Amino acid sequence: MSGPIVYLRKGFAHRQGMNASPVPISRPPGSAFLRVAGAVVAIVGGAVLAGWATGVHSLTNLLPGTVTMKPNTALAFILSGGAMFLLQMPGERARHAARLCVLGAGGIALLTLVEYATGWNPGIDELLFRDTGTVATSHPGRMAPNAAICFVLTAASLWLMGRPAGNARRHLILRWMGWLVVAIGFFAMIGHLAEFSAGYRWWNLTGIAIHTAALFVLLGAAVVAFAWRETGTRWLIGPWLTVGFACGLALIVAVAAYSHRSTTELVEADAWVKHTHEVIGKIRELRSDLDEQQSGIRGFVITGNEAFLPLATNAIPKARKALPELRELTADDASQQARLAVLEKRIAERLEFSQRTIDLRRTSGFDAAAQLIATGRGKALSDQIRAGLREMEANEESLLASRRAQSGAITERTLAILPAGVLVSVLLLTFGVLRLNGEAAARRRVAEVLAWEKSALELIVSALSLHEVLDGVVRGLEKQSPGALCSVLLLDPDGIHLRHGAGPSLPDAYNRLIDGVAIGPAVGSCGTAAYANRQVIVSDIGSDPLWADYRELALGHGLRACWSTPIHNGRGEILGTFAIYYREPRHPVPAEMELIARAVHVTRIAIERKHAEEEIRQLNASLEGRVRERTAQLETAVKELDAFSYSVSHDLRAPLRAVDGFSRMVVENHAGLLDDDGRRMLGVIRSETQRMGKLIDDLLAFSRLGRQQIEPAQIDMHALAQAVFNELAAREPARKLRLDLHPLPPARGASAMIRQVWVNLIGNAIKFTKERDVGEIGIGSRDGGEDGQIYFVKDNGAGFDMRYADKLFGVFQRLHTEREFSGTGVGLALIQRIVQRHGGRAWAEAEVNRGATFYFTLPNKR
Amino acid sequence: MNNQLEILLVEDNPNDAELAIRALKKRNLANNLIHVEDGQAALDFLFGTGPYAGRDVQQQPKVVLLDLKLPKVDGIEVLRRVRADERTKLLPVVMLTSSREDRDVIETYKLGANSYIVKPVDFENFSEAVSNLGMYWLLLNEPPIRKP
Repeated sequence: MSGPIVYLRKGFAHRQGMNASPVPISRPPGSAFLRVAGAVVAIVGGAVLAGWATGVHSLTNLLPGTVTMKPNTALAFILSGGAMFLLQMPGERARHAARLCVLGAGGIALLTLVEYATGWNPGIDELLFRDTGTVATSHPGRMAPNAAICFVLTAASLWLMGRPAGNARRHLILRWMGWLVVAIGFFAMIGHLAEFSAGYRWWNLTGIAIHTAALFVLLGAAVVAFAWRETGTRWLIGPWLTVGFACGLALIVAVAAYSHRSTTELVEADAWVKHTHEVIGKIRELRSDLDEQQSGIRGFVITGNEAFLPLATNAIPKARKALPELRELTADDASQQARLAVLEKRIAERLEFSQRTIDLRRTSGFDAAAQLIATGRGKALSDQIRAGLREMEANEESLLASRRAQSGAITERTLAILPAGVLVSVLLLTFGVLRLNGEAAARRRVAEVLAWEKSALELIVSALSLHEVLDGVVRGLEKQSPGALCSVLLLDPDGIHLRHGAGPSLPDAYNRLIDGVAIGPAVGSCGTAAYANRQVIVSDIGSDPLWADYRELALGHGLRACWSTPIHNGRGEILGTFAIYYREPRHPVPAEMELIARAVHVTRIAIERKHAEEEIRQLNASLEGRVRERTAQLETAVKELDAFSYSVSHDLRAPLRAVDGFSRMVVENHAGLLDDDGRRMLGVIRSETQRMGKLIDDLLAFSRLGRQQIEPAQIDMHALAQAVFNELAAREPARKLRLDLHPLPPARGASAMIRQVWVNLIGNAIKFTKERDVGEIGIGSRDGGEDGQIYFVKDNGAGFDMRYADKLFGVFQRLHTEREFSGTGVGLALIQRIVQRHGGRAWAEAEVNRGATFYFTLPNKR
Repeated sequence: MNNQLEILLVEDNPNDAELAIRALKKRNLANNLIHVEDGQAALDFLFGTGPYAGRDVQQQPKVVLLDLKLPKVDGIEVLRRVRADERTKLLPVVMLTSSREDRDVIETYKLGANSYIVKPVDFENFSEAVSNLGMYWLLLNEPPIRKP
């Protein structure tokens, strides 16, 4: 199974950045996307400027008849894109150049905003080129206000991007500004596509071109990408899903744009239909007015009754008023206008003829009028007028028909395309959501498996036994796959028998019966898997020949499928088998195979670990046994040594005592029998036996020291040294001794032992200065740093040759003859041993006949 | 001097015993001295048992010089039993030791030894020990042993 999916969420890189704040410039390494985006923006800006310079208008406004990208906008794009590109390049110079670009772009944009706000015109708008375009342009050549806002935001973002990382809120500000620029650009793009002017043109000022909008989307996206990179946010949705989402989004936008257009067209078509109706009505009204007038005149001429006249005269102004209205209504139609012009003339003539008829009737009577009418001129005019009106009406009727057809077509198309677009969008979105859900489910599954693995590993390192661990591991796994009954069998060291490992959900009786089964070529799934050393997948126990001998047993316990996998250790030896049983026939799916592989791995770790623990435990046990044995031996040795010491101190001394005692008796009781020489010899015998006694005492003391427990106490070293000197000096009343005792800091140690150190050192000093008139003894201390406190005893005595300094502290090592200075050679060895047992050390400096200084240290312990 | 028993010397080493007896004799202190050679004999003597059965145990020595290391029953054990017995609880006991350094010296003090003498026993050594006891019981001829 592949590795787990690792999420890097926000906060991680950001905190890293904060920690790295002492580093002066710590920008993330250049990003290809930011470089490409910067380059594209700058290059498009350059192309547009070139378009202005050469008059190639397809560059300045991509969509013909729409607003142009203004020269200043193109320049600001070159600067912003350049800055974005330069920021991704290494080196201080690139960074400085980027800053200059940012200042340039931001400056132009800010100045433009000031122009809009104050109405002040410093003349930067047409500095580069004269603006010939007038579409959606409030001020010739001036950058659109929304473009200026976008440039200010971009410039601020770029400025922040050039600053050293470390500001906690930087990525947040960048992200918001980036999204804002993307949104403004996107809004404008939709405005262009859907012919929705508020999208790209704000407050009826200059609008932004469609490629301006697209470049802002790109710039904003680059800023967001930078912020994402800084916080470690990654796009994890995958290319296909991303493309799918982008298509869905584009489709929704397209459907919206199309429906906007269709609606606009429909409204227009309806307006035309209404307009045609209006024209027809007007024509009919005019005709009825004229008819009314004719009938009025006719009545007056026939009857001479004035009461008929208003009918005629009232219609005249109405007709005169209707004519210009009609002219206005048909302004869009040249043929109707031409017809109308003829008609107007005819109507005017007809009205004038009518007036003449009325006048004649009044002045000359009916016959004169009848005679005028009889000329037929009036009728001819009326016929012409009627024909003209009919023609006009017929024309309008045909227009109406075509306009109705057009409106119907638009409605039909919209009704077809809108649901289709919505349907496809819904399908795309549904597909996307399902895919996302699939991924989330997979991720959840992985998370659950990881959680199981983690708990399994925790179990493994716990103090639980192998069976308990396997039990827990298997139970956790069963929770992952409902219906699965997991089992672990362990192969005996004999390599033949499988022993129960874990099977908490399998029937106990079944577990008991298969415990100890011998492996073979057809022993169910596990026995076969361990024997053949391969995975054995039995989908249906009921029919599989491998289960021939165990079918009844398994079916009897309701087990129908069993997939078993051998577990190997690192050397390829089989440790046992891991099996999943099901209560119904079943074949594994790939995800289950992966889970099995993981389970086998974890089980292997558990088994190996617990085996190793067992080995360690046994080793420890045998080690402990050996330690006990050795300790007993040592204790015996110590006891023997004790007995030996006891024996030395008593038995060895007994003959010495006798020699000494009887020699003394001889001297005391039989002195007369001896001459002086004899008495001297007896004296020698006595002193030598006493010396030997002392030697034995010293040796015993020395050996005792090794075993004695140190119980540290506070020791007043100054008082102790003084007391020891006083005591020892008192034994030598004949000697002239001078003590120079400097204040000594207290120490911690076994006071009897430390006292012995002083006794030996001061005793030595007294002893080795016996040939001086005045024995001068200096005692002092100094700080020894890590050694603790250094104490020293200095004398002006015989000293010694430094060549033998290394021998000084050995037992029985003497640098002077017995004749010169008496002693057993144990004293300094004793000092060394005491000091070492206190954690210090001892050494000496001397010069022959110039005195010696003996040092010892005691550590500063609480 | 009368015949009152004065010193019980418990010492197995004949040389040490001779040297001790000679030292005491020199000061006329060994006239009424009993010498036994092991701890058991000392106990028998003090409690009138074994070979000393029938001895008048009212007659106790004024001081016991007790060697530490003895055959059969060692000095420490003898001291323990002496101190444990009501009749001899206050009997002055001076230990004979081979060395001042002897670790048993402390043990004997704990058990109630009155003093100790480093062997070989000379008179100075002995009188020092006696003076350490703080009473001239030996010379005052008045044993501090409570009559039962």
